[in-house]
Amino acid sequence: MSKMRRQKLSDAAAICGGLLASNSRDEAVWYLKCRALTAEQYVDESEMEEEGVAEILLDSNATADMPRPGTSLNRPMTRAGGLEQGMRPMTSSGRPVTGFLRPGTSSRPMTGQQMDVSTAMRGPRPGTSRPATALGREVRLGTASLDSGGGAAFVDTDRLDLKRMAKRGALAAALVEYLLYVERNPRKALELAAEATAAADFKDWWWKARLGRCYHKLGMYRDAEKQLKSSLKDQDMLLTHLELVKVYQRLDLPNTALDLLARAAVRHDGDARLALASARLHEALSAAEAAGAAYKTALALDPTNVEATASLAVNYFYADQPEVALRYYQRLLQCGASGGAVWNNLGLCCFYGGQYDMALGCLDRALTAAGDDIIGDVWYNIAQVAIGMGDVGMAYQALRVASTVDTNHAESFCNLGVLEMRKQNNDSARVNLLRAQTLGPWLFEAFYNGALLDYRTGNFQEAYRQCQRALELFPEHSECKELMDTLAALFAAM
Amino acid sequence: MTEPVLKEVIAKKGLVFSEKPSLHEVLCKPKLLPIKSVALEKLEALEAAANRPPEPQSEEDHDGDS
Repeated sequence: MSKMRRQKLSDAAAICGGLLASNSRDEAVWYLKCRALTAEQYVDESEMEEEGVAEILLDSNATADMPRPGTSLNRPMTRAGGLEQGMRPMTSSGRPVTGFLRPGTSSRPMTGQQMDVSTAMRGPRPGTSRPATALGREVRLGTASLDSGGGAAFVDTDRLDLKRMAKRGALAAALVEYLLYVERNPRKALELAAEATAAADFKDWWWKARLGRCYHKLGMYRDAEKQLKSSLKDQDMLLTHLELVKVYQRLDLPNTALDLLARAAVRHDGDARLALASARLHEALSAAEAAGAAYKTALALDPTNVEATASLAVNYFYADQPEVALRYYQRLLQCGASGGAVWNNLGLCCFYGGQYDMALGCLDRALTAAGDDIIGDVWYNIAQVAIGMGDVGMAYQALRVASTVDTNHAESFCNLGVLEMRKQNNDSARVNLLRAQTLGPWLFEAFYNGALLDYRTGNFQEAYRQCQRALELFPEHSECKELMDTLAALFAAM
Repeated sequence: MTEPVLKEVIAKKGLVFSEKPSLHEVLCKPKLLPIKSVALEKLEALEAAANRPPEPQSEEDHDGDS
């Protein structure tokens, strides 16, 4: 128990295993081992899970086929372009970059984007891909957790008498959590939860909530909604509200979820998680102002909240207030978040906020702290700073390193193309820009620069085609519109 | 007393109100990196452990079996 309290979970499980070997009927030790194994594998359920390719392509849960803007997560309030696209980089799903990455962030491509297998396969970060189905991924994690830990011989779930276990109160509760998080077998967990709910005469809110969670994991969202609502009638619990919000998100009913959060906030004021959930929904609907206000509320309730701080910092940076963003990232450092991403962001905020002495030092730290997934981005940002300082040689080298360490980094290839254009190396520029267009079909800059290059070299047909692609991605870009007008006038004159 | 004659200086091609800007290349913007949540990091660690190939059995086990 001492090991368990100090979060030394594998040691605790091993000790319990030894005790159970001598006396397999010791229920207290069995319970403790069950809790230790579950805690090792537990992931916070208040965040969304990653959707699989099948869930995106074959989704039959959406209520409306052609939703009005702002009523569906796939069709936000405004097109996520607009003037904001001129200031803020976009992700592969067509949404602006966010300050915080959690499971399920930017999960779905927006309506209007090409929805095919290749788009659906693309993961949330360039170079990653999604699992085929969410349930398949869970099964794989479950198999791995059983193979690695002492769980393989711990509970033989095929031979369990679930009816008998369901009457055992705390043991049944520990077992259902074990089935959900270690074995990742929501079907078995559902059976146990159904038996336990019946044994509790359908009055126990906890078992109804677990039933709802099992239905959610199995993709039966309407049943999950029913169970969670019933659980809320018996006992109004914050976590049940959050689970119900997740179910509404899967059913693509963001406004229903927002109404639920507003009603829950009246009862559970003082908890930042409700404000965070509504901020995430507003962000998914591209309602930037409402999201910002909700994040500020969350931060007022919980000043150390990393998600709210990071999201607000990104909003301020891309709203041309890097000094304010710098204050927020300094706060993150004080709270203990000190990965490569934080140092990178600090470096950028220092540079654009005018603190030139600190910028390269922070970026240097970012290089040391960054993992393989973001090292390319850090070199790309070093190149941005170098371009800002006027050191084109350093920028060129940094972009070369970025494109080498991360061969899928579209922005690096695009900026390399721009530098080559300025040096009048048209062939090299064309190769880089084509590469950027292939790797990053959401980057309007790559298409615009390609169009400009073709226009300058006299290839008007190709320039027109690329200009059209750029305008599809960002219709308000003034230079792109001007280029299009020039080309149209040329074609008319011919 | 004659008033001084002011010589007007007007551009030969007419008054210029605005110039058509020449088209320039557009750089991609600096990229702020998102902070990963604890849940995402744990999920990634679990997935990495799941994808790791299984460790080879030690020789003692083989001797014990035979």
